[in-house]
Amino acid sequence: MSKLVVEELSVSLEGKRVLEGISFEVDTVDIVGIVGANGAGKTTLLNAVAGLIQTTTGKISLDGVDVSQLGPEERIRRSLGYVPDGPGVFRSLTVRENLMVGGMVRGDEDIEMVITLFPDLKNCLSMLAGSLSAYQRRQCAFGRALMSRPSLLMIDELSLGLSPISADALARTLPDIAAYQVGIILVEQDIDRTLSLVDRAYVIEGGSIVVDGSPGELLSQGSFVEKYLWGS
Amino acid sequence: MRLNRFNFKVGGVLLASALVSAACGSASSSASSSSASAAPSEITVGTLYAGSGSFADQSLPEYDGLKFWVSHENSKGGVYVAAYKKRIPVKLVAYNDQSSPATAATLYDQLVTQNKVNIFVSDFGSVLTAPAATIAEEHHMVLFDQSGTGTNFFTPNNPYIVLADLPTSALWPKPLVQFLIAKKINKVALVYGSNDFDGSQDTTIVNGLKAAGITPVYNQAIPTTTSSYGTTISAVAATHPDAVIELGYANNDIAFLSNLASSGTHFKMVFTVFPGQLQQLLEKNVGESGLAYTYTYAAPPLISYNNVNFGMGTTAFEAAFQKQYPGPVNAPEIYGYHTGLTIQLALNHASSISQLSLRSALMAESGKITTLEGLFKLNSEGAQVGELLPVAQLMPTQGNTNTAVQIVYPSSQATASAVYPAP
Amino acid sequence: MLFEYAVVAGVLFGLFYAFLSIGLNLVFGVQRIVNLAHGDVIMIGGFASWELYYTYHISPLLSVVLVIPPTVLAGFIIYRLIDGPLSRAQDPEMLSLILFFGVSQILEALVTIFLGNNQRSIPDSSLVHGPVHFLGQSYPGVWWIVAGASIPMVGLVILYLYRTKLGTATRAIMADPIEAAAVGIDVRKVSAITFGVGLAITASVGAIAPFMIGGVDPSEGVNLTILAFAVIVIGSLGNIGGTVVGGLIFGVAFELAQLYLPSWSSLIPYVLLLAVLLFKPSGVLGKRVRSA
Repeated sequence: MSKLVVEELSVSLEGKRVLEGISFEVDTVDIVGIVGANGAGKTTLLNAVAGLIQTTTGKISLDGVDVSQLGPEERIRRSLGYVPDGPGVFRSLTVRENLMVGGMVRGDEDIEMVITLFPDLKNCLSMLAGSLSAYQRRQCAFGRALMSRPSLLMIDELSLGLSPISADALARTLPDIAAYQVGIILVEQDIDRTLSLVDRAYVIEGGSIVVDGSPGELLSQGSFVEKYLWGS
Repeated sequence: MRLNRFNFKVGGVLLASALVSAACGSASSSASSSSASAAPSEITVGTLYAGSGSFADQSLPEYDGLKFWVSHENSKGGVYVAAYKKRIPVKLVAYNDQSSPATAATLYDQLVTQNKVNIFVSDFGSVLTAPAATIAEEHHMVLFDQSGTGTNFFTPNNPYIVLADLPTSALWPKPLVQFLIAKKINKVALVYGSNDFDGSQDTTIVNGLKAAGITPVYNQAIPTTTSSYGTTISAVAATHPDAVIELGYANNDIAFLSNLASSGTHFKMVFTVFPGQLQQLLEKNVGESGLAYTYTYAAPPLISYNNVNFGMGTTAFEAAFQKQYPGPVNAPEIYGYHTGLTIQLALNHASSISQLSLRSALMAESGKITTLEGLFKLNSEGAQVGELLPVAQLMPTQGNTNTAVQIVYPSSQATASAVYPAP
Repeated sequence: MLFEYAVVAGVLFGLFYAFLSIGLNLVFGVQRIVNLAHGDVIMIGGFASWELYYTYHISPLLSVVLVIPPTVLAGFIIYRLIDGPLSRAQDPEMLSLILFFGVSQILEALVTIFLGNNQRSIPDSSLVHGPVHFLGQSYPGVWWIVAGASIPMVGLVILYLYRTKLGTATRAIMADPIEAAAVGIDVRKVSAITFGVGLAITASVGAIAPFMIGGVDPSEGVNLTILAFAVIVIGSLGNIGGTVVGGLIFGVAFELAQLYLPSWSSLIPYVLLLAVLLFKPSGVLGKRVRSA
């Protein structure tokens, strides 16, 4: 059984259908990408899985348990980690406090794993997260999400606000994270980078999955290349 | 920047809600009056009272006094109206202004233009009387001003106001000024609320002292809403005055006297306005030790008049009033009743119930009438000038938690001699 | 001499103002609830303290603590009632504003009906006898007692926020409620507790407020709400530490105005408020942080 199973998920926001009939599965050994244009519904999908917004129909299961009616805290407790599309950190809290808050759901304040993955954070534990550089802030955001020891980590915009060099550096930590038996769902604007990182990708268009497959399969489809790599 | 916009939003809504609350005065009863030329079926008296807020302590007893007069007259079949040669029942129309002058302005307007009352009576005190005075003049209604004694309401060209109770506040401190001069108290400090009532008293004191060659060592206006006087007291103390006079409303006097007691500062003489009018309230809030040896104006019922030729004398009134409203009688209750008496006097003598004939009837009776407030005498501007308020001192009583108010000046009315400096 | 007196008085009052306003900031910080009934909660704390003193001879200082448990509970329950409508609202801030304006009116009316209109006060002697001498001047003893009580109470709130797990979670929600939910904080529960704590600290200051504001009466709420708003906006909305700074600035400015510009002193809250809004909208302690 896969870690996460999404079946026929639909979401309406303010009366408008944003997601329609989405089905996919992710397991703890997978690195999965979700790609699509701005406004295609990628962030909404992650928010729906995390329980931050209500789903209209469909079913979301974690480890075989239907969590569709549970609040976000119940889902995070079931080993789901989320690096959302916002700041990703609490600016007015120190880095250490950010990590502590991340670990609260499991009652675990052990930051060793996070420091191993992101050694840069060690020297700024008592700094306010708001005063960090964009790169450090993103590392702190990853660390915060990993503190709950998720077996599935959802990342919305890995390269948010980062220079290409920093984004590449951060992307290189993904295999290290995956090595802790963590599955990853990556939402990313930069399709080149996404395809270089993931085992499989889903393409969302107008709120529905239009095509999916391995990077190789996708790149062999002319229409995909034309639309997402050569287009605007 | 979301927060910044939000700050403005909060500010705007605070203002808006203040306006809303100002607009929701509630009616305690309503009536419409007919303006037929034949005898009306009732005489409508319109007024406001402060059901809450800083003037409630003074306004509600005054309203009780007026209600008492209405029920007393109605028990006899109504008030005698000379214009129709018969008694006509009195209908009281009253709204709650919640101590807000803005609300009061709206409600006064409603009394005059919607309810079309026959007799227009203002709420307690100068702050809430000010909007009524303007509206009365505008609509040519005679304002029965209960206790708005601020001098600037009374001008030679405005016949549309009559002060029903108390002398104008400019007259109140006359005996006090004479007392200070007689006692050779030369270093006088004055703290007064920035309102007509306290301001006109201050002017009288300053001018009176100046005539005797005395300049106050401290003379400062402070907002009527002040509730903490610590720094003011220390500023006053720094001038080493021989007498400190604080002119405020009851809330100010309570805060001033409490702060003075707890500051450990001692003055040889302290004078405040309201202990002589609302003794129980002050005792409850300030305590006997805070009031001991302080001075105040002696107002009815502390000064009593039983030898009257109109209405009840002090003792008779106290007995009758306590049957309906148990507890000690205070000054605003007498003012309210006396407002009723003034209305009665006008209706008893006026040849018609038109506004100006009501006023000329009162002018004609001025000086001939003695009531439980003493000589009823109006000057040409409609202000009471019949009686002055003696100076009283609150003497501690042994083994009793009450203070006794003794009149100490003028000597013709004195019941004790002043203890100066205060121990 | 007088200047020093006004400054010392301002600091004492400033500590009291911080205590008076901190609950409003806490409640605002968590779910952007604009508690227009803040001053009425203070008023109810005042009446509770009055009642406890006259009926059971309980010192108002003890009442500062006694009123806390029932108010935390009441706040927790009230929050559970309003949470649904607020979280579904398009503009929760505006809805809370209107909601609590109504609550404020109801509280004032209820207290007026049951306890009457009269101002009531508790004698200073219930706290302290005589004045306190400091640097050659004498101050009302109650000022020192109230300021002295304000320090540990404000300190406890700050300790709670900065040294406990629940407090850290509360600050995380203040920073960003959606992200707080995304890391698995039970936002509803923590918000309800914080709302309860915010109301409790507000009722708590009410128990000793009568000594500083000349008594307690049913209609005092509106003015106290405005005062508290001025203090937290000066300090910085949503910044708890800023409330202490805001209180001190406000207190000292007010006392200096009473000394040098007495007739204008009642304008001080509004002048300071406007100045802060115009020149430093994020508050004296507010940092300009980009929001994306």
